[in-house]
Amino acid sequence: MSLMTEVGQKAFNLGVPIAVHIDVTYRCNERCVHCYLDHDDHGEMTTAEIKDVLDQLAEAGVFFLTFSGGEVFMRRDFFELVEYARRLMFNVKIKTNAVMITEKDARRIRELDVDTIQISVYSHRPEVHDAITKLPHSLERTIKAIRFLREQGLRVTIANVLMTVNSSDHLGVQKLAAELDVHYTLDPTITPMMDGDTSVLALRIPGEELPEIFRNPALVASQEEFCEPPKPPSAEDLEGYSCSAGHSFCYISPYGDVFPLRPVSPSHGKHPSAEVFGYLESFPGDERGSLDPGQRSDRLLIVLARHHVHALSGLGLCRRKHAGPIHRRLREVVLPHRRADREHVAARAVETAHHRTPDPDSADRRSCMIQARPLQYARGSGVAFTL
Amino acid sequence: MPENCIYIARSSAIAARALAGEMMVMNSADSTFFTLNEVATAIFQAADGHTPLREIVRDMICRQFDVDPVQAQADAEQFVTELSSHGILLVSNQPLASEAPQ
Repeated sequence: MSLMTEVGQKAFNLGVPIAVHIDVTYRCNERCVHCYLDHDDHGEMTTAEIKDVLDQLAEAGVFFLTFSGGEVFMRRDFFELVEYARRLMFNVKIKTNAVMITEKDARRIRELDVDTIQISVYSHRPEVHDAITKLPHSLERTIKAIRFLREQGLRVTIANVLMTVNSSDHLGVQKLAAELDVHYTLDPTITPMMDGDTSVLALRIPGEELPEIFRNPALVASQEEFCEPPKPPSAEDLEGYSCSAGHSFCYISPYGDVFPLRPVSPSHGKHPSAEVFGYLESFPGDERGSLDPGQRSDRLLIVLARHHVHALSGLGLCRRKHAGPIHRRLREVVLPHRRADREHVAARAVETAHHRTPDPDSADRRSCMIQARPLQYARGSGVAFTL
Repeated sequence: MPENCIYIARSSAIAARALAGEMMVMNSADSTFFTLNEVATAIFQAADGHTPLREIVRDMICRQFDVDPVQAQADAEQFVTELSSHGILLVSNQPLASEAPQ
């Protein structure tokens, strides 16, 4: 077990929210065709409120902090927030379209010792990328910003959301990433809009086409390993939690609401759209032993309705209470609704996201993990101190 | 460098958080991830830039743990040298302005 995994497991067992994703705004300068967000400001947290949230997160033990949106640089106080977060010694990751990042901004990001900047790129072809973002010259500006960031020696990852309108461009984006000397990730997940509008799902790449895409050796280091059927769950797995959501990971909206994971709109269940704030994927206990790849579509989608999420969230960090209780209640959330969403599951099958890992992107990347443990003494009482 | 003149301060370039008494530390420059045990965490947290390492070892480590002072000092110097090489700690024979918050 790697040190990172070990630490993630420890946080999981202790119920420490070691990784948090906070969207500081839903506003955006792009209007991507697949985006699920409402870009209006319905009362974003103020600078002081977000700083208060960050204080609480540091106190709660959060180590990995991802700032996202919307477009984070739509907030004029964004650097102030990052600076505050770094003073609290979070490991900070930023997700952005980078269109607004200038050379000076890149230098500032470097000075703040931000760990990683993840940037959305849909195509290597301006006409395709700009048609998706609906912002003229957006690809040109994004690439320019990536160069500024790389000149500062910053780690950059290109996130390539794949959909029908750019399905043939992922190889071109990978080549672009190589030219820019940045990492590349691919994500075929398209979710319904937050208001329940499911029309964007038409942009999803059909599940049966995904295996071909993921046969690309550049995406999957070891195809044998990637395609290997999962091991049967252990007794510990069956007794424990299957996912870090709400245990060692949570999501915070621009309005200060806390969720066990990033909310999506709910085309999946019988619950009214306005009532559903999120989802979990899980398996019924009596079927856990049959998780071979051919039966992945048997997964349950557990939909979290508003009142359940509030029960988990402790009513939000900023406005009302600390989010401490979220990990205590998760197993009580049971809204089993047997509905196999094959496209959804196919997409999720390649997204290892938050499962039991504090920061999967980082965990994969960081090869140099050292345990500095030269100092091992017994406590003064004479009782041996062990790690 | 005489051991009684060693001052240590935490770098501002790092991320750090205590998890159940052990410190997680990551340097964004090279993405090296450390966990520090209880003794190392005590030294790390005391690295304010103006308390000599010798005082930290004498007043904190030797009082809390069952260890020979000479051995503790040698181990502590080895520890700060290692973390210094990864940019986690700043080491000087002059007091340092601490870059990181307490």
